[in-house]
Amino acid sequence: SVAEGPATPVSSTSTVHNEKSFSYLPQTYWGLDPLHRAYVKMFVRDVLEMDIYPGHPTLNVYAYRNHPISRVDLLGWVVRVEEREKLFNYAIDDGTGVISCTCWKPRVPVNTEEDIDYATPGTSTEQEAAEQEFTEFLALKTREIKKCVRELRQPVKLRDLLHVRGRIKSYRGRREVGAVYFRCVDDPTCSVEINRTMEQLQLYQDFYDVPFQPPGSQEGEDDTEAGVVKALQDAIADFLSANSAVLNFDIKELATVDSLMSVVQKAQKENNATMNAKEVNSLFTQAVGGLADLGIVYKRSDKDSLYVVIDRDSALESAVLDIVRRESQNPKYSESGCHYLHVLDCLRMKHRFSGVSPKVVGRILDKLESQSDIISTSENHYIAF
Amino acid sequence: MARNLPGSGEIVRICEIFQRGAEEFDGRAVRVMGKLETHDIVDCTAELSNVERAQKSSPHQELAVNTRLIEPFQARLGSIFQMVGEVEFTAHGPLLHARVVKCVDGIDTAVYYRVLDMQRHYLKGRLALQV
Repeated sequence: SVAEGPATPVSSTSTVHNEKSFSYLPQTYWGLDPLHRAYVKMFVRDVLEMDIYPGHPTLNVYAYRNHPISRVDLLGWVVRVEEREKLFNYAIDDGTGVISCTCWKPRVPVNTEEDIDYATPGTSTEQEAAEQEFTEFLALKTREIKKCVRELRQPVKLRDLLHVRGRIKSYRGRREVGAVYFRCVDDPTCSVEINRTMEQLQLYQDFYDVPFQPPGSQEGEDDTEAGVVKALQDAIADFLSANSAVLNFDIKELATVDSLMSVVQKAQKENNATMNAKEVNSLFTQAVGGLADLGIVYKRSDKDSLYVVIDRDSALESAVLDIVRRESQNPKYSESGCHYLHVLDCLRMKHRFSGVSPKVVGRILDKLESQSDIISTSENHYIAF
Repeated sequence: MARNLPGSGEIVRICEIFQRGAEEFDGRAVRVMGKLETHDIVDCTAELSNVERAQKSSPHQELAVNTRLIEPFQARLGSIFQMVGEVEFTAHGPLLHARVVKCVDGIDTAVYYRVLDMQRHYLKGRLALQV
């Protein structure tokens, strides 16, 4: 259903704004960026200086990095007040820029003084009391709302601190904010303003300055070393599941597999770099290390570089099962089951399994449980009969 | 509507106006903070003094203020005020034509200026990246 003419070429060209490059998103993906519909707490200067989102000149969507921004949350001093019949035009200044905000007066009629009679005829005294209470509550709330509306219909003073949320708009060639929310903030000691600036600095560094990456674009395009390692790790996992005859392997052996080397060569081509054998070996070691963290393979011992595929190691499986069975006889564990770290300790006493990690034991225990060889008594405790 | 917006008052220290001088600040809008030392409601003049005691490098400096646009205000001597206005460099030194004034007694000046420095540092660092 995506029939956006200009969207496709825009997304393919990437613009360099700083060291990192990012590409603008086609409109289809805007909704995936949490900043698109959020009220972004920007500095006024950035609201004024942001470019219109490339390729979409009429949508009132602006680009900060590649974030499609349409709504902002601003806090600043009121430095000019203009009143019209139905709206106020406040100019607010946060020290970085001045922007004008259109704040519509609430339309609720406030000068109607008559109080609405909410009471309904009651039958029992208990019901009457409850209704009386409810009527008072409603009257209180109505008064509060009316007071708030009256305040919003009064112009704020110069120097007041105004908090505005709204959409960025362009009015006669000038950028302004159409407020959906505006309140005067009581800030006698300036602490609200100070905290706000600190919060903004944190938000900018953690979120706004980080270009948005649509999910799924990381794979294949990520040409950093971590990306290559991840791609290689996935390729090794695929290779192992496709070749069920591989019970264990050496890292040097992996480097002879064509499908895995092609991943490395592709990365070399993209980076225009050549790697020596040592660097390739380190890539493979990192990728296999990642698989070991996931509990798919484990290193047999620290001395050699032989890795064992866990699901195909029947010796490990039977050793774990034996340990759980034996420990379940122990009166200490017969009730609640024994903890998986205790199983790990027992397992590591055998020289053959000295390099096994906790994740591996967890995976084996899960497998045994799914085969109904053992039972888990709690999240980390297992028992066998 | 919304024709002439005032310039944005860059937040500065009083001593910075003296240091950085006329070329940079003449006619520009600034937001300063200082202690009200003198106030003359007839002549519409006032003087704000530096509130940063910790910084030994900045001497005690007083900024002359023209208060014509903000009279009458609750001008209690000794209170700390923030003012937004345009700086004019006269023969006697800088003069601030204040147009917005706010009393901020009880402000934590140390934190205020530290956050100002953090914000400047951030904006400067980002500018360098974007060029």
